[in-house]
Amino acid sequence: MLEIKNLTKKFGNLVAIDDISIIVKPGEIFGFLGPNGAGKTTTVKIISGILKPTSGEVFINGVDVVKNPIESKKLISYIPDEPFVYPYLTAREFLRFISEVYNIENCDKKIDELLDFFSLTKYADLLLSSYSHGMKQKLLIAGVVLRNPKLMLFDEPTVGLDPLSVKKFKGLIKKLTESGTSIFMCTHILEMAEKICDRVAVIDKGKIISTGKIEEIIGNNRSLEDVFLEITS
Amino acid sequence: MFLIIKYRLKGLINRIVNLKGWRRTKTLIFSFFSIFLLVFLYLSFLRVLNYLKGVELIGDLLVWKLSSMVFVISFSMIIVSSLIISMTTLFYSSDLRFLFSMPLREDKIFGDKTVSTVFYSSWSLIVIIIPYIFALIKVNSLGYSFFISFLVLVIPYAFLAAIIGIVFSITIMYFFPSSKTRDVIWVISSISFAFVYISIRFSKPEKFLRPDMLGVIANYLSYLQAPTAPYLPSWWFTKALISFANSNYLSFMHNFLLLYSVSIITFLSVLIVSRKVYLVAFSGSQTSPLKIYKYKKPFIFKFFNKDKNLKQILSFFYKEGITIRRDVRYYSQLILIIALSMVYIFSIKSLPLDNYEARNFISFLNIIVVGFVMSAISLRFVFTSISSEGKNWWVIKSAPVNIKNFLFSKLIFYYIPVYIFSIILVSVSNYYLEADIFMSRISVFLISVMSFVICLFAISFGSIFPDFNIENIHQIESSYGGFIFMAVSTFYCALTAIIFSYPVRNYFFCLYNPNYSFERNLLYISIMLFVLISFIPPLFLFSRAIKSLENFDC
Repeated sequence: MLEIKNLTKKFGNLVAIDDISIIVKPGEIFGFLGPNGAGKTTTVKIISGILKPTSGEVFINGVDVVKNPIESKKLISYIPDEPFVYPYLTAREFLRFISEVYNIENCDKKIDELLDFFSLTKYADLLLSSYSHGMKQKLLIAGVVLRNPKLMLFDEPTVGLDPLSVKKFKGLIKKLTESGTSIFMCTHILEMAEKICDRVAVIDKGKIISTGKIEEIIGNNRSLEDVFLEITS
Repeated sequence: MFLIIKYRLKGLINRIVNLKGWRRTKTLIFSFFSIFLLVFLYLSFLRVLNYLKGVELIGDLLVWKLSSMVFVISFSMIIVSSLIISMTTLFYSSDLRFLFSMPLREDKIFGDKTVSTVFYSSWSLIVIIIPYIFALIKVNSLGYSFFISFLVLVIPYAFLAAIIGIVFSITIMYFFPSSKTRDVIWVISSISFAFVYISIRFSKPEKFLRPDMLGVIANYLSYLQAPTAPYLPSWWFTKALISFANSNYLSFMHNFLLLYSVSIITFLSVLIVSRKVYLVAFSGSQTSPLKIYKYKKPFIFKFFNKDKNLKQILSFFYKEGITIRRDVRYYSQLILIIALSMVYIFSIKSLPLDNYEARNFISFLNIIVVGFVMSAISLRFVFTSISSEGKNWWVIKSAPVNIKNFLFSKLIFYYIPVYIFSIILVSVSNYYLEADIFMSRISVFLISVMSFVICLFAISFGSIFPDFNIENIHQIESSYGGFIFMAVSTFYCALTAIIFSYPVRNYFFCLYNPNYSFERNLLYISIMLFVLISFIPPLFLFSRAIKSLENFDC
């Protein structure tokens, strides 16, 4: 589903990502772990087409992100680490706007269902400027599900969510992967990565230093946290 | 307070030191354009001042009268800027929550934000006044110590103007914490301000500038010698400069001390008051209206359901419309623009033009002036419309959106009101000027094309020089991108005037010399040239803008 080949991104003299390669299979939940400033957000931004790579290639379902940005963006949906949304739109208007931009037909019922699922129905016609961080985050997740993409990119998706919403989120992505959607998720919450990710990669200073299934990485009698601290220290 | 300012300055120095590559080149280009424009302004001011100075007996009086009027106008413009900017700097800056969470007294934060507001609302006007001061120095053969005295005096002058806007904003926020009431009060205040402005203009103050309107010469002379708005700090500022120029240092010191003592007392007073009111006002500003906005599918969407591109363009169109309709800050600016336009038309109507040629000549010049007005309006609304996407830009950038569609929707969205506005301005002006059919046709044709091209320039330069991390839209207007847009747009208007000056001159020449016939070829060549400069460079620029925005890393 996602193939990253020798990806490098430089900002002036700073090498943010240094020759990384990753493959994410259909229906797989892939955790992308790393300390602050390791290059996680930059990687997700390149996959989503927000940033251009310095070198290397990214393919989504065989579509080159750099050469065919519009086609590749039709296959993905992205949620950034900070949920910025248009403050003068309501939640319902925002989801309608997303549906028009992504050309999703007959979505009124689905929008209502999603608003209900994320307990936003009561606030659906209020301006987003009155929303809390967690409410905006839930709205963005609803927007992602509405699009029904092949690949979902999350950058710290559960920051700001209440425990019930986190539980709902975990259940939702499990369900989505069953229908073949792949998840690429940057997270600091190692416990969540340990519980829901099929495979993880650990990135530090722009380089991937470990990749594989959780059990392969942590071995016996150790937690992902122990291993993470050990390899990134 | 000074600690915050100190770290602000450090941040600014770090930004300058770290300018490298394309950013450094862009800054150099901007600096070059700025110097070029300032030299141009200096030469224009010099010409005007030289002319006034040359008037027998009253030359000196005229020069200082004009100066006092320039300083009064600048003073009022700083007040207007501060009214608009202070709302953002005092209540919506991104660092405010962080600052309020720190063990800092409210007056220290308020002091820091006051300094920011004074700076942002006055710096561009002060930069424009500087060439005027140099022209004044040249015309009156003053030494450069005059410039130093200007620099010393301009600080309290700008401060006292900006503090009016700051006090107004904090008063509204303190007394009207409910967002709905606050919005209504904000709009009513803007209308009141516009009303006062229109009333002053409609009282025809220019009649005092025409000796024939006053009974005797003595009245005219006493008007020239009288203070311009004696109770405003702008007059103390003018008086101090006049005194310095005449080596009357006692009077200079008197006005200097007046400016500084009033500034210091005002500043300390607002700081003391801010301890009681700033936090309350800030808390009020953090609330959002809980009004219900029921979604209605735009009627027009039903007709374009099949065409994906058109549907996308319409969705951007719809989003832009909703945002502007619900952001009350746009209203005050629109009200001020309407007030300025009414004053502009009134000024045209009041022009003492007795003959046919003069009226038609003014009608021709009016096209260019309206072009400049359109450029200024486009700078505020169209140029900034790209950067005003702000941190929400990721929504567009990560979506399967053709950037061409996105920019095209912005272009059409803003072109329609700009076009209607410019046509009204030109048509009403032509009506009052009693312009003939030839001039009316030319002006309607030119302004229709020019308003489109100016919007195209604004969208293109806005895309080439975007800043999605901006918190105050005025920073975008006064950025190098905004400056280059204004320079290019002004150049385009001037070029249009040059191209059409030939057929227009020929037309009037033939009108008064029946032996000559109007050279139609001259008109056709002008139209061709105009169409060429109006479409080839701007469309090339637009295609560059699409590429630039597509490749923009955010």
